[in-house]
Amino acid sequence: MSFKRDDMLDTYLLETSQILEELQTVVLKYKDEPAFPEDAVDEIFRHMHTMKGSAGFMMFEQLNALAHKTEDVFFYIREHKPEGVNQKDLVALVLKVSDFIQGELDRLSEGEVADTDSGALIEELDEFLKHISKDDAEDERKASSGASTQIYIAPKDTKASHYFQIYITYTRDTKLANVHAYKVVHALKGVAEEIKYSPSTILSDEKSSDEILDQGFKILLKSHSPKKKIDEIVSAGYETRSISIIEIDASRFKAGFKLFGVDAPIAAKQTEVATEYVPGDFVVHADAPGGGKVLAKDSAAAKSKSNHVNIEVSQMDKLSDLIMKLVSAEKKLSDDKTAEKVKKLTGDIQDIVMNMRLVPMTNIFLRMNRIIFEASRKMDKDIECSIIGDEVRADRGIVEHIADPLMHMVRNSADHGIEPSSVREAAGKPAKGKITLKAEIKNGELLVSVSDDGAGLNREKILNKAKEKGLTDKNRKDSDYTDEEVWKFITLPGFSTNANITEFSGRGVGMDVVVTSIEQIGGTLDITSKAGKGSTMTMRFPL
Amino acid sequence: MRILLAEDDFVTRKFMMNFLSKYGDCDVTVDGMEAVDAFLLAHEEGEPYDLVCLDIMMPVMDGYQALIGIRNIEKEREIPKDKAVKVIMATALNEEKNVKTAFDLGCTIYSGKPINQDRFEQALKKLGLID
Repeated sequence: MSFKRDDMLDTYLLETSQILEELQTVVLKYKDEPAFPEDAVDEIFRHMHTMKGSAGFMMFEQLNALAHKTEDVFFYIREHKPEGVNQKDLVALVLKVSDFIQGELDRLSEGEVADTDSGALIEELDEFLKHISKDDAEDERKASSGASTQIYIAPKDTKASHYFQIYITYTRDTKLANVHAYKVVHALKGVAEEIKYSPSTILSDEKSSDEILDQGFKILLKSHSPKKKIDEIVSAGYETRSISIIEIDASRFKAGFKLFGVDAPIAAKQTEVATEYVPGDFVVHADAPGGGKVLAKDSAAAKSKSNHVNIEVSQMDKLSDLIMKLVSAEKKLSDDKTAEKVKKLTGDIQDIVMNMRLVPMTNIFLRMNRIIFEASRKMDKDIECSIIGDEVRADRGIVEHIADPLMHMVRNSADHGIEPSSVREAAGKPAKGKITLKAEIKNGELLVSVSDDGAGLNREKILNKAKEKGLTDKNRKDSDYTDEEVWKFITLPGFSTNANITEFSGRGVGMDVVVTSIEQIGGTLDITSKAGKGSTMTMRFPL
Repeated sequence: MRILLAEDDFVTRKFMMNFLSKYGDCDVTVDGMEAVDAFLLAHEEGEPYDLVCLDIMMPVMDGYQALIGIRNIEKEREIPKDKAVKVIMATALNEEKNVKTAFDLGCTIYSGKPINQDRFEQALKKLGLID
């Protein structure tokens, strides 16, 4: 069974996930500061306010309440500017809220309901609020009730509609074929969302009987029921000679009886023009029975979207211009000169389309920043994250693909690379560790790297481990191995040198998985490392 | 509570009447124009409706036009916003554009069809129309 996701739900999901992204950006930007600056507090407050509103509108009560409470916290901070708020706790709390909402969004997009109890998290927020406001007099924010003034209720049934073309012929001697035809219509009414039939005068005009015997009886049906069900209903013997039931698409249904029986598939769906509806568009004109409802303005074709992509308008414009040119050139393809032109235009179109597939590294880097923040909290290390070249754009496929390997490398750096503050200070390094994420395009390659200023890889330890695992060549001395060769060992399956397995990295599956994943899309991994100074892992992808 | 229902399809009308009658006295019209007439009449008789439930696709005047008509009557009678009648659009039209248009015109609840009765009731509660 196919499902048509509700249009409003789609919009809600898209908008809310965009807000969550912005929310994370602003929160992570100030995670290392002593406090959020005023404009950031404002922004977070606004995001919460918007999410509260839209959740209320969709009647997602748990999300509505959660956003409401978070909004309260930031309302208090904005109005009272309390001192001594633990920034790290606040950041962690907001990220928790953001995760909770994201979790519900995921559930919703799986077709589930968003009713996970947010009570515990709300309580946590309440505790935090009480904590930061304990010195101030009780100053309950005037409960601007979370109720929205406008509410949207999704239809109960989200099953997709099916469209059918039904053609029935009757044997020559059938009496009152029009009545037989009407019986079919009547039987179908129970499952019909919309039904049109021809001839449409079966009840009012007895002559329609002859027309039916001559030309057959045609029905167009829109229904939630699958073809099997329609087959059952229609086949139940009404003195028919032949019955044909074909599932068609929505545009064909809309086209009415003009295209009835036309086998060629309807040409590609028309791009929908984004006009707004105006009152009066949906006036139903009285029509002969069976003609179906005819609207003052026929409503736009059914569409089902599942994947939203934001595309720059200028690029879309360029693309449609090019296609227009291509189409007109195509008509005159007879001579070589135009053939040449078409070739060029096609090339240009390809470039544009390739460009549309490009996305910046920003989001994925931001996610890594988040991972570093959490790792540093959990492991009690002080780590800052520096991002270079997040505006570099790469193919959507590559960017999505490198998220996992990148995450693993970042975790490795946070876990094994960066030393605890005390060790760092003893070694004369700044207490705060640093992980740098960098993307650049160089010599036709995309380079994405993770560097840390930690302890660096331990050559001796790796070599010993490699020997233990029988990975080395017995005829070579340790000193024969170049650093690069040594580092290569850690990318082999089952290689892990750290005795301490932590939540964040290192279970012996790791770098080999990373490398395999990178190689899958034609990339390679370079490792450089210097004892005491840190390591850099660079992924290279040809463009 | 006084309820006004505008719905042109017989089967749906019967269903909606049954459903809404649980919450109050339900008057029925079959097109948008009649609905606006009934709304005005109720005001003139000093017994305005508390809830108006409009289909969108209807003869003569569609639900959008009826909604404008209703809001204009309220404006003309200088009825404050918080006293304005709650208007529910109940319709099978479910594109974002449809919903947006309805809310821009001042609809209170937009409910897709088939109606999710639990949610519908929940929304009425939220608006304080029922306990």
